Amino acid sequence: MSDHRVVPASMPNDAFEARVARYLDWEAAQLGGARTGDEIAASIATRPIERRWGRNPMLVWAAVVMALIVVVAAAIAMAGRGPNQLVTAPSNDPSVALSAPPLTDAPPTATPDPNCSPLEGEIPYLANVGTLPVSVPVPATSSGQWLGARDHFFLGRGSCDPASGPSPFFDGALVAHIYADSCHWKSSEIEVPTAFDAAEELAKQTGHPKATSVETHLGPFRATRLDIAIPATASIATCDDGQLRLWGDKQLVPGVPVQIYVAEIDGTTLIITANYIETETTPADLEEIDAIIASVRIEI
Amino acid sequence: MSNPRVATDLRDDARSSAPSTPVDRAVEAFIAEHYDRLLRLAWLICRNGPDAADAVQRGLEQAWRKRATLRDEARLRPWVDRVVVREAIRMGRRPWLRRVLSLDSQVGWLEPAGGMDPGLREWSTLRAAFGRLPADQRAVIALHLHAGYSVAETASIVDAPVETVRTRIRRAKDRLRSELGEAQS
Repeated sequence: MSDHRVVPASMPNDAFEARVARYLDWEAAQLGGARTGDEIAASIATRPIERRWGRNPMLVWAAVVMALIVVVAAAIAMAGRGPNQLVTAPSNDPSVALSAPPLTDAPPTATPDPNCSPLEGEIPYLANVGTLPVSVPVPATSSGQWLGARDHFFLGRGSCDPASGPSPFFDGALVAHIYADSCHWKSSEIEVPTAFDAAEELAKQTGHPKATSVETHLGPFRATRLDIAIPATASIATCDDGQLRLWGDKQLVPGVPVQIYVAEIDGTTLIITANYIETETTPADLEEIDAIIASVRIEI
Repeated sequence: MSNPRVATDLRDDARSSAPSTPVDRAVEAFIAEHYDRLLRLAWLICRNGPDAADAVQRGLEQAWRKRATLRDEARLRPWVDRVVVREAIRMGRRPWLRRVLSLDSQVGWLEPAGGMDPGLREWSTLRAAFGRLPADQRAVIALHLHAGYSVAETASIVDAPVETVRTRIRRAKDRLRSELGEAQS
């Protein structure tokens, strides 16, 4: 087994570090035990396209669709210009032509999501949850850019796409059915005619640690709050489709606690959730989540 | 252990039909030489093989695309390490990105009926504790104690202030000591 150390400059500072270093060397060496390097290389060379491009085949398709939209939009934009505008004037600055691309690990320029807008200024974020217009003021934070989806209620710090891991993020749904068993959700959907029923069934829902109901407010409306969390190490592989679901397509992700606010608004059951990655969330973030929930406005 | 097939595969990915240049050959040699090291480094952070392989693949793909600007290995090696480590951290901390949760990397081994060797028991506990560290703490520990980078070099790779890296290392060590039932520093 070859020496995996790169730079021999750093030496352990104490006996404990030396023990950890010995353990890490041994642990790293185990990777080659069951599979040889050539086998791993071969597995990468033959990896399905969705595995090489990303984690989720749905994301790959979403990226393909987005790329097509961008290409069509660019073609339309260029068709609207005069021929002279398509010609880039040559630069007189020799450094422009000679300089190499910057050495950076920044990802290729991200395609802007036309459905996702950065939130700035005094204008509150407004989007529909079903037929209910829900608004919240732009979160006053210096810890990151908040973005909001235009065609549905989704407010996230860092992204509008839950698959890219914004934290925290808020979403919402008008709910008429709940899964009695969040693990075996395909066969356990039950009707919840009222918000009271929805909160009661969520409190009894199985597949995760029981949630305790607390009476609170969602903006000016009375609501029931339930907090659900499962450890990041929990295995949900045996659940339907390898997912825990609370209602509809709302997933409960290990390591991502969710605060659920259930309110009855004009005869319908509105659920707003606040979700955050547990290991990355500070007390200040939780305070900010509380402030955002308290500031929710619903137009009826 | 080298993996020239990976380099070949990456070259195919780049759709390169041009004749191999000295830079191409240098990067190919780098990939062949360092693939296993990078895979092991990523694996210590991700704690599962498929994610580690993806992190390394992405790092090497970026290296291949930018090979024209990476003329000497002194620049290439820390640059590729940085890309791979950051990708591994990203995968380790984003539950949405994980399709596979490798439980065996986060728990100890089952104790056999006849009892476990004390040394093995300690490593079993250490293994479980290391797997439960946050990904950014695993990364700094792996870079500093396994890959041998200094604290300053580690800070550069994970793009964090030196003091932050010192804090992460200290917290990780305290947590590992705590799980091993030892007094903290």
